[in-house]
Amino acid sequence: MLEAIGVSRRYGWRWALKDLNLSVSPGETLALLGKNGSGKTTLLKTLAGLLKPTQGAVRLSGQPISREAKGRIGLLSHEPMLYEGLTVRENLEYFARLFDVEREEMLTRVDLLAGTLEIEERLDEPVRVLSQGFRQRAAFMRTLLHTPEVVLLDEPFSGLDTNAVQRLESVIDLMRDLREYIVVFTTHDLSKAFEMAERIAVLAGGRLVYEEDVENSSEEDVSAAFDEYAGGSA
Amino acid sequence: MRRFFSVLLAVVEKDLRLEWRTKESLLVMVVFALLVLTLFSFAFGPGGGSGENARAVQAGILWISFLFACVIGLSRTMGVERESTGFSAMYASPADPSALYLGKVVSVAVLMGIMEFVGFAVLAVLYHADVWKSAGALALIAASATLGVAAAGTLFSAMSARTRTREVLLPVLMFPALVPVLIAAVKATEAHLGGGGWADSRDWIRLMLVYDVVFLVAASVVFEYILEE
Amino acid sequence: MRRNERGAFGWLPVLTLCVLAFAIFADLFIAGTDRLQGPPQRIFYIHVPSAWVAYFAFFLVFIFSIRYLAKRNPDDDIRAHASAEAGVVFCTLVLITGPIWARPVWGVWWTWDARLTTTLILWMIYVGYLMLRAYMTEPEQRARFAAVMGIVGFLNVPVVHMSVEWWRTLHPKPVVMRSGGLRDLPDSMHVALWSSLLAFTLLFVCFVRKRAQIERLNVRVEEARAAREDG
Repeated sequence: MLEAIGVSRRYGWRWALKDLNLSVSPGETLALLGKNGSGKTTLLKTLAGLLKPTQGAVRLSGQPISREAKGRIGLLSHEPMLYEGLTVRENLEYFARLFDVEREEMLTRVDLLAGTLEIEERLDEPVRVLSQGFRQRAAFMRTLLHTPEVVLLDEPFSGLDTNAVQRLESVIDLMRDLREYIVVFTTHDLSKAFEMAERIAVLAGGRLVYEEDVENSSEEDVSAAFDEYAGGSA
Repeated sequence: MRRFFSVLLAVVEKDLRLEWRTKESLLVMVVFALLVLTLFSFAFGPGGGSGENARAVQAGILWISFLFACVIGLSRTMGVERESTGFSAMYASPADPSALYLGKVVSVAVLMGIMEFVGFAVLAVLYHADVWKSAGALALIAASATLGVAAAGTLFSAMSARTRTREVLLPVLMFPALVPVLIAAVKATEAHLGGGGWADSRDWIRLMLVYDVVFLVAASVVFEYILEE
Repeated sequence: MRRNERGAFGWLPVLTLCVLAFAIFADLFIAGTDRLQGPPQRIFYIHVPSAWVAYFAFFLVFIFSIRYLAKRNPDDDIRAHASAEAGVVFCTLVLITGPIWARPVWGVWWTWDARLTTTLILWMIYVGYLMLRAYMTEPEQRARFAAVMGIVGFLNVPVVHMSVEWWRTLHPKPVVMRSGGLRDLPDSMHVALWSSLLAFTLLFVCFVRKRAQIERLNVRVEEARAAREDG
């Protein structure tokens, strides 16, 4: 279980997150919705242990996010976190060593992921020459390389063509078949959220303003939550 | 321990591979060092002046040119990390920050070592310095100084790369902290260029080793706080 | 934050002023004139306490920096910042008074004396510390980086001192007059020196407290501004 308990995080002079409580269980997928600057990225980075909460705590299986625990988390952030001058394979080899993945295991993982993502032919090309779609696929491979239990995806589909989106979705389906993951992803796209997630949460001004299971929710409800906050703050 | 070195080597391999592909940092470092070495010749007269003081001037010129070139090289390597958000990626991993730091230090030191090799060769030619006679001693001096410069440089450039001014701040942070290394390296180099022996350079080499240890240990401990976003 | 900002030490500035007044009196009138150096020797009563306070300040930066990294309390960062600023001010005083004294006594403004040179490098290190702070915007990151600087910079002090000392002694140098140890000072000079030392230390504490107070207000202003922009 991944929990945020009373998490506040200051960024600049603002509170990017304010007293936020959230928990996601294994096997569950949570979609985070919110406008730009609502704190989605900050929340994801805080869950990943990349940012320390100013107040409150993030816990994975009841433990704070220690250095070791980061090996159980995979983060796909806005930034590609890949070296442009290295090939996709070299990037993956480097990160495999940072995450202490055995070489044999890594090779199997790379084969499996590359096959599903249809990126085999580009593996030995430098990241620099790749299109946005292939970069995102490469970044996806980096995120999943160490078989994390927690997968955090920041706008995984933005700026991608339909083919790339399909490939990424098939990988998410594939990994969900393999084991019980905790998946949290941010998106602007309401229909995508309903299609993929079991639970929807809306962030506004660093607070959680709406949280509901997909079965009990509708796109209208979520839009209403959005508008209510937008109206209240304008 | 195995993990520690695996991470350290991964960083070194990655850095040197990137450098090998582009040769950006090394090329600019070597050219810059040569440039400074030549310019100083104009400032002090051919061969760094004449008489007793010439060896001291040469040693000083050599190390000042290395320091300046190092600043440029560091800005480049850290620029690569900044562009690829490499530090965040490191911090998001379970890898030991000390291993990441030391890996970075080693790759910076390797680049500096190559540059220094060229620098000494050029010194021998342009300034008629007898480098070969005491090559072993000079190599040891250069190694201890380089380790110190790389140790401080890596820490400070990792910081300055994340500020608004980036490269501008690096020398301001780095040079005062490197005064002990500069003094010791120049004095020790001067002793051996002037035909002196170990007796003249031993204490200076010890001083550099003390500096190296202090800096490497302290920076290994605090590097974590630099990686954090 | 609502509590009286003067806190429990409201009397401190008054005490400081009194001690400072006494110290100035002692420096000028109680202490006898040095037989060898004449009146310029009196600058010693500013020079030495400034140096003591500067080193003390940088030690405090070191301590507060470690505490910040351990506890992440923003107030430790503010205290480290305030100490560094005050430290640089007193360090500057050392570097100004040194040459003023050296000129009439040694005949030159600057002699690359080991202690003065170490102080100059120290000054540069902590000006770098303040510049690093000035060029960073994200408060938390700035606090962390500054703390790293504060720790590493201070650990470097003994090594810098050792290297400069050797650099000077392994080099031919003009004969420098060295004043005798503290024990050789007459009582009147002791009174002047120690009262100045106390006065400067109190002054430093006042500066740091005031500076920290201002910084806390700054933080509140920035936070209020950000909150208003957010609506």
